[in-house]
Amino acid sequence: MGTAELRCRAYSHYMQKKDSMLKYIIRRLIHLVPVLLGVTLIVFTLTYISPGNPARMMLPQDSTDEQVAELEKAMGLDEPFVMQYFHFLFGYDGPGDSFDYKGLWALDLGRSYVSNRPVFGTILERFPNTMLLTFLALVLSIVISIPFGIISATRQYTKTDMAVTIAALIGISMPAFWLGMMLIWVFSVNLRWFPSLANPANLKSIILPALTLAAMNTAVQTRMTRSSMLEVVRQDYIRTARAKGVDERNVIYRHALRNALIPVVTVIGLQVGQLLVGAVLTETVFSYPGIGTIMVDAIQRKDTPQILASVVFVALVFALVNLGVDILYAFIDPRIKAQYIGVVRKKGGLLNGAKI
Amino acid sequence: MEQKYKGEFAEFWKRYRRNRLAVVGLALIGLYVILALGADLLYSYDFITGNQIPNAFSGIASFAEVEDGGTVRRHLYLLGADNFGRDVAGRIIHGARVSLIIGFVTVAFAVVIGGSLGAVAGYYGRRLETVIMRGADILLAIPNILFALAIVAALGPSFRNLLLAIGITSLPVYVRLVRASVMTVKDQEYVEAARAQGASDFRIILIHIIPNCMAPVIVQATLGIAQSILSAASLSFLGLGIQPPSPEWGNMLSEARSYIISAPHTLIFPGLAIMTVILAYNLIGDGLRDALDPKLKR
Amino acid sequence: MPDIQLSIRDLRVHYVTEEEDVKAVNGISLDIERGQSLGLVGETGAGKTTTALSILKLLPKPTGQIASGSIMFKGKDLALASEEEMRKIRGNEISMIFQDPMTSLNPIFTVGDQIAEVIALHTTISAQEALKRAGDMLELVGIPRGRSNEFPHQFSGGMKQRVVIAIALACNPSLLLADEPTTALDVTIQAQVLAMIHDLKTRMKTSLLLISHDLGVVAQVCDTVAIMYAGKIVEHGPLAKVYEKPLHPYTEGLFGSIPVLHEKKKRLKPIQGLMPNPADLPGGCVFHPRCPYAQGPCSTTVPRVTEKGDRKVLCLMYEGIIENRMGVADV
Ligand SMILES: Nc1ncnc2c1ncn2[C@@H]1O[C@H](COP(=O)(O)OP(=O)(O)OP(=O)(O)O)[C@@H](O)[C@H]1O
Ligand SMILES: [Mg+2]
Repeated sequence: MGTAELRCRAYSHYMQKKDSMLKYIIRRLIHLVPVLLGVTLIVFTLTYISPGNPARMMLPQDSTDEQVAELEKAMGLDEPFVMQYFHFLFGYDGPGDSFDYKGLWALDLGRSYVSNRPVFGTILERFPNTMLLTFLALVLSIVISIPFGIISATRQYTKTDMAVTIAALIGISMPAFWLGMMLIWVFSVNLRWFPSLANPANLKSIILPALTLAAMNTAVQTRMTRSSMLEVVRQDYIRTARAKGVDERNVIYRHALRNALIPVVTVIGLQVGQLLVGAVLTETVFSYPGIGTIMVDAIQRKDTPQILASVVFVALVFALVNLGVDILYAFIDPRIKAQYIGVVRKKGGLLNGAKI
Repeated sequence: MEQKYKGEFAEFWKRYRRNRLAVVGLALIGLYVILALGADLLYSYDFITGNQIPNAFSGIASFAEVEDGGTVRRHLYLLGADNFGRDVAGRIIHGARVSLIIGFVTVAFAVVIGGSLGAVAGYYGRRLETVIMRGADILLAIPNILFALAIVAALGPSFRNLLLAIGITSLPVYVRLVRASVMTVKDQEYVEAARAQGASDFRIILIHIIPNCMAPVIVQATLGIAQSILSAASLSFLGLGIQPPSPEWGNMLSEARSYIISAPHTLIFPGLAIMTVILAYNLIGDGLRDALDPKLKR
Repeated sequence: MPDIQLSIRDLRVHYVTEEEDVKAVNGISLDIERGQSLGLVGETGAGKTTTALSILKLLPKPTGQIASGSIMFKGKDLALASEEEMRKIRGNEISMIFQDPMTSLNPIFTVGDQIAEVIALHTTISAQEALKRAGDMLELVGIPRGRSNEFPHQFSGGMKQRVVIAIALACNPSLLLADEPTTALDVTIQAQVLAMIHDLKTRMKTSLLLISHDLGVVAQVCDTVAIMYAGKIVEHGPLAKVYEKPLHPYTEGLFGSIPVLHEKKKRLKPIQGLMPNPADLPGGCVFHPRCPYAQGPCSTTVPRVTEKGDRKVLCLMYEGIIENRMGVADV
């Protein structure tokens, strides 16, 4: 066969791969829809059955039952459950204009009972702060955990390995909010190196919260890297690499590490979501203005729309992050890719078989 | 038959014992259980919840005159006193009782309900399985602590709601775990044989299938207890769990937070208590995994 | 004077673990001439793989240890060679085909890259050139070069084994260690792969150590054969002679355990018993507990190598210590 034909086939092969990757992503997105609907339904149901009456809470203490009923009508709270859930998803257009909102799909769930600002306005305003904290913690955890995991694995059973293993064990057992307070006690109260309150404008003040948030992940990822590395080093293909004359450094970093990191990447991915959630507690400890503080404030003030919006928002971001990680994972590991480009391989095989 | 079980247990214990850290974990939990059981003997509940304002912030290992049950006596504040002059050590020990109960009850709830759902899904398959597994997927899609937080926020903070929230959020793991085990076991010959002899589905699930998927469930449950205790402490820290003056490690930390400068001991010890209990359960979980993993049997 | 390529003398290899000391190889000696092929045959656990791994010093660390003995290759004792020296030899002058092709390839690199790597390591040519040579190697083992961009999981077991062979042969090694290169393959592919190894061996003048527990496989490819039992070589000699008239009772037993269709011989019987635990070997002759001809001294006297022309055997019968009941007269 000619080179042109070869190149042509290679190109179509490439296109098919891209095409099926797209299909894979779409399929995953479609799978996500019922899950997300379920999540929103659960969160909505929880608020629906919660004992407090939002209308009564918004009115002055001495309001009459008629006034409360009137407000309930204006807010659409007198409608049946299904209708209210429908409004929650797709918007509400009440008798007046003051309680209208466009629904979850448009990221609009009305206004806070407390501040009277659009709930998602506050969330979107503060979300970058949470993202910044999460991102810093993620970077910290990766930068610390992977090298320590490798060191620990390549020096199995040495003192270094023991030290790393014990540190990691303690790391996974420490409540983040307590670690945060301990760090404040040591580094803010006693040593005065860092401020005890964090805000996104001052990068130095985010170091302690980022460390706090990163601790658990760092510990989990270190353990994962270590055990994955030890597992991979035992594999036959590592022996093959050695038998080829590859030096120890390249055996570890070229042949073993990349394989060992495949499960670690999955764990890191799953952890990204956890970090986002962990931020709720960490932010509270450092009074950092993120989604976590919004949520906790709202819960303490029984600000239903704000609670609903922040919980749903975090849950959605969590689900999307995990989806993104899965897709990324498929790009990294050719074996996963094989699951959805299997058809392509067979076609290629047939063509190859038929040639000459 | 009994002989055989004894032998199996001895074999298991031999393997478990090989992991020294796991033995340390077991000893730690044993210690906490003893302290929790003896909590009332060591410190009366009224004493550790009542105010002793004059002794507020007494230091570690200090003595003070206290009023306890109508009499005045000299009392040793082993780990110091908090802002209300309450004994920190006593509150930690009473708090241990709460934490151990929460850990046990929530996980027992999750294992029984989640395990049953998983067994039913795995055994019967079809529509029932689809419904149950979709449900589990949805529950899994909401991060545990967030979900628990939402439940307690909606239903109001109380001990029962806390247990319910943590129990529900730990459920889906067991659904998946048991379903997966059941699916691998259900077509094995001895199950086919039992079915051929006319055993009822319930009997088959109970006698033949459940015992065969115990190992992963036991390991997961141990780690799950650690997770539950952590969640409970976190929620209490946020003011959504056990309410003061009831002693609970999370709410102790929440109160101590304001006294970080003047009374760091009120902050350090409850945290250490949480950490050691969780560490102990994690160690036991690791040990159980190694000891129960048939792949590692020699 | 034969041109000796590899010469192993009194090699002992132990696996030292917490609980026990596994004596996997117990003082074996072997010679392989240039261009010749030696078949190493034995039951599972005899120490065949261990022998091959110690030649390349790839024993699992830290358990696997060469306790004593020498492995002379091109005037150098590999048992004493440094890691640096070994690295230059591995994949270049001595290469190995491993027992299980399914797991011997790295899942995250394309097969082309994996072949090219060994070429790039031991030559000074560019990466581009190495990839081209990798394509040549693929074609040599009968895989279209167009598939060099594919990953191992896209290949069948037989094709993977061919890739492993291509890697092993890429640098024209002077010695090839093939550890049961065909056991993982089905029968038709087995024959193809064997024919290919044989063909490549003659074309490239490579010496071959072929490990197998299948006497038929060895018969197809090898010139000489060594029979291994519990870490010792109990019989060694030219293929035809050993197959015609085994000297050692164990060899005889091995032939007995493969049914011979066209011959009706009375020795059509499997060997009794099991191989001893290498952590706890019996005294005297290691084979005596299973030997149908065992007599008193066998359990106490350790046999020494008896040379009979170009054959060697490890049995007290040939040392004149016990009566020879095998009915084999002098060869
Ligand atoms: N890493 C190890 N640690 C401890 N013992 C080992 C190890 N590898 C092999 N052994 C033991 O050494 C002995 C020889 O093993 P080896 O793999 O060389 O056998 P083999 O002849 O290649 O068998 P097979 O035909 O099954 O491949 C066996 O008893 C085996 O259990
Ligand atoms: Mg072998």
